[in-house]
Amino acid sequence: MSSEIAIFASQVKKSFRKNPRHKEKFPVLNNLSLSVTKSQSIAILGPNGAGKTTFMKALLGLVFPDSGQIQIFSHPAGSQMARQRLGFLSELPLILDFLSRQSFLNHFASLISDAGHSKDNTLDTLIQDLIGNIPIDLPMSSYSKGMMQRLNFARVLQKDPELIFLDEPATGLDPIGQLNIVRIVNRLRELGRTIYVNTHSIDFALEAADRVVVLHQGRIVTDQMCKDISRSELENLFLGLDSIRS
Amino acid sequence: MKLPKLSLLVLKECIAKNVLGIHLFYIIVLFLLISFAQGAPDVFARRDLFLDGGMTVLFLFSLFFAMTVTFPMILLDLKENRLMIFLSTYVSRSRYVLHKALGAGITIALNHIILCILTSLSLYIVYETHPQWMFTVYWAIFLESLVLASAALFLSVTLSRFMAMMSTGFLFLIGHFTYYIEYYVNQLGNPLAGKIILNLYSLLPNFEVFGLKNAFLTAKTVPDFYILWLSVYASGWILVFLLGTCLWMEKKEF
Repeated sequence: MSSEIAIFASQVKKSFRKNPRHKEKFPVLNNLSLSVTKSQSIAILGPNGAGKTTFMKALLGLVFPDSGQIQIFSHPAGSQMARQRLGFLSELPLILDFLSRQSFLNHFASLISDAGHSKDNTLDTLIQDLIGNIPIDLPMSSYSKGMMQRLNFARVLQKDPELIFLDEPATGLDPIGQLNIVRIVNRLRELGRTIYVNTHSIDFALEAADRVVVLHQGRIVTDQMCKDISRSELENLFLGLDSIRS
Repeated sequence: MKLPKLSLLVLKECIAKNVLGIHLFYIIVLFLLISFAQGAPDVFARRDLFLDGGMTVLFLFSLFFAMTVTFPMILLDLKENRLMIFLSTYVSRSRYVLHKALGAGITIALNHIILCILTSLSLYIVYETHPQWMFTVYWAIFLESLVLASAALFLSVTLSRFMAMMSTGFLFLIGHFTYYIEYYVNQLGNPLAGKIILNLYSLLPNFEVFGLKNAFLTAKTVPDFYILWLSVYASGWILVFLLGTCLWMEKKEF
């Protein structure tokens, strides 16, 4: 396995104001440090408000940390060099409801070429698997949520990213849709892509990742390889966090 | 020249949402205007009445269109979860703003051209005349639309939705109030207060400078350098608003 660092976060702190009118801030990320090597698949678990989304946004360059350092493949988060090497699948699919399947993919393909990115065709089969049964001519407004999510996954893959961020990718999908997402993520792992996934599902984390990190109140409470931790241990950990919260 | 894809997307989205359907309303308004002008005593009065009304309607349609296209442009991307994906994976923040603004500019220009063609055609068909100065007025209205659109874009990202709408409207109204401001300043009787008010006014875009219709209708000549100055003035304000939008977006968290 390559030892290049895909994600490097050191002592990241972020706090938000409780109310725009008040100066008082509450911390969301507390000195969070994390390092992910290339080709590793990492799942971030945690209760609501643990800081998972804020941390992902900071890695994507959408939120600026108060202090600390974040690098993506040794480039600052949010920089053009970092942006070129990553793909992002959000929880809510990106919808351009007036475009058909192919127009949608063509539009984003042209955005990639605008950015000067060269594409490797190794993922073409996977993309075809994803979009195979999505109607070619119909506009996106007529698609089901599963179709939209799969089309968005194809959008992410056509960029051929080395690092893929997935935010709750299976939320709202039926069991077959969820299984499909797990299958695609595992195929991407085989192809050596680095995967960073935010999820609430312990099963998804254990099935689709090499490593699992549990966040609570902006801190890492567990960071283990999936093979070293069982489902029941993770469940007990969550129940423990829940009792702290209540 | 290859247009950026984000700019084309703005145009495609407007076409898909039938935004350009406003031309049907415009044709109806032109018909009403022609029938209204028939009440005037002679053909010259009818023509001038139509020109006056036509230019006012064109001005209102163009400006309203410019605002409605630009105002939700970034807000919708934010609401519909597109902005995070565009900015995290595809384009830089400034590039996003500039490409979107270019798309809005093209859409506004396309709409304006269609409105101008409809106005000119109506005038030519009904009154068999077409004064040359109409092109100058068309250009001035287009410039004003772009200034207002860029102001709407800037305010839409910097303020809450309600405040942004109110502020854009306020900027438009106060920008057209400059015609009367000297009268009110004279009524004040306090030269210092008057000077302060006039200087404060010069910090805001003055939309009254684009109003060339009345000058032409009253047979006043508008020198060529004024049109050039007007273009530079509008470009300056557009640049200020776009730069402000880019700077704000660079600092904003999503």
